[in-house]
Amino acid sequence: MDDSDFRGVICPHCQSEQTELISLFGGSVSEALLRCKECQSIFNWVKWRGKLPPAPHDGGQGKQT
Amino acid sequence: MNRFSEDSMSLESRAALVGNVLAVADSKLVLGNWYLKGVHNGRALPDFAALLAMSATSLGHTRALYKYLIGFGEDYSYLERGRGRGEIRSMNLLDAAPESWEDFLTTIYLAEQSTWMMMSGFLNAPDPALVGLAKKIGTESYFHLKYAAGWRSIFFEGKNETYREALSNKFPLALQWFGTDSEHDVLLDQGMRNVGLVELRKALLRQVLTDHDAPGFEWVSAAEAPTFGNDWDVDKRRAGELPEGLYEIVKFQDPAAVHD
Repeated sequence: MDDSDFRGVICPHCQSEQTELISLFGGSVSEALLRCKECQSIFNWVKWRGKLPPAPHDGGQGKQT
Repeated sequence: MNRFSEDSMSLESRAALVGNVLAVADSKLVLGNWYLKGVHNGRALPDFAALLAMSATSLGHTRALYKYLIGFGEDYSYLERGRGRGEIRSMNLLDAAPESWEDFLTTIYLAEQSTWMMMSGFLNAPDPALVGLAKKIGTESYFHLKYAAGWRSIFFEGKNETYREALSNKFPLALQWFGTDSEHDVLLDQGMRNVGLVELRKALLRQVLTDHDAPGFEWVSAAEAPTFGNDWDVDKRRAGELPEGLYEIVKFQDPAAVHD
């Protein structure tokens, strides 16, 4: 699955940026599940990062608060 | 930046601002109760936790927005527990009980997306208190929308007729909430928000279509324009009164249990 909010997440095990989102439901409510394409590790990633949902004034891109 | 206040505004703009804020606050009131009612239907333990958390957040938004309205001469106690069902201004989208898990997820997604869009119109408002509320609601809506997105991706992968049907039925009600093209947008004209209702509705339409642009998912509801009957109340942003059964659920049952 693809979600632009999780692109470029750095793997906590090998520091690779080649990671992908597996599921928006991770080990806890606030986490998503990601996989590293380099070292194949599976890791949780906090999905709430103080970002706003897309809105008209930002061209529908979402914005950091 | 100046804080909006009862004294600094015309009667028309004050009524429009209170009406808009109350429409969001009351929709969050009903949404928060929907989350609570949905807990037992969760498919797994994380659903229970997420729904309870989202319920608390939604009801928190309601109370924060009611508190904001004190500055405009509104009585907090009356707003929270003094109104009859004819005075509750929640969106029609949330009137009917969910008919399925897919219907439930569709409705909460549309309600979260709609209330966020409405609040996003205030992100550059001249009132810092309102801007702060919009940002706070936005950061938490982001989290709620991720929950809906997780379930949506599951629906995309399987048989999704029920989901598509629910979306087709409910989406026009979300669009309806933003009113007609001919509605006089006092808050836009007065510079109290920088994005008008028509543009907010278009943004909602674009976002929902974007969120459902998935391989193999065939759904086109853009042509299903909202309808407005004679009972559409532009001030309340809804048609008719809150259903009696729903009012019994959302009204505060025990005033002694509520702190001011």
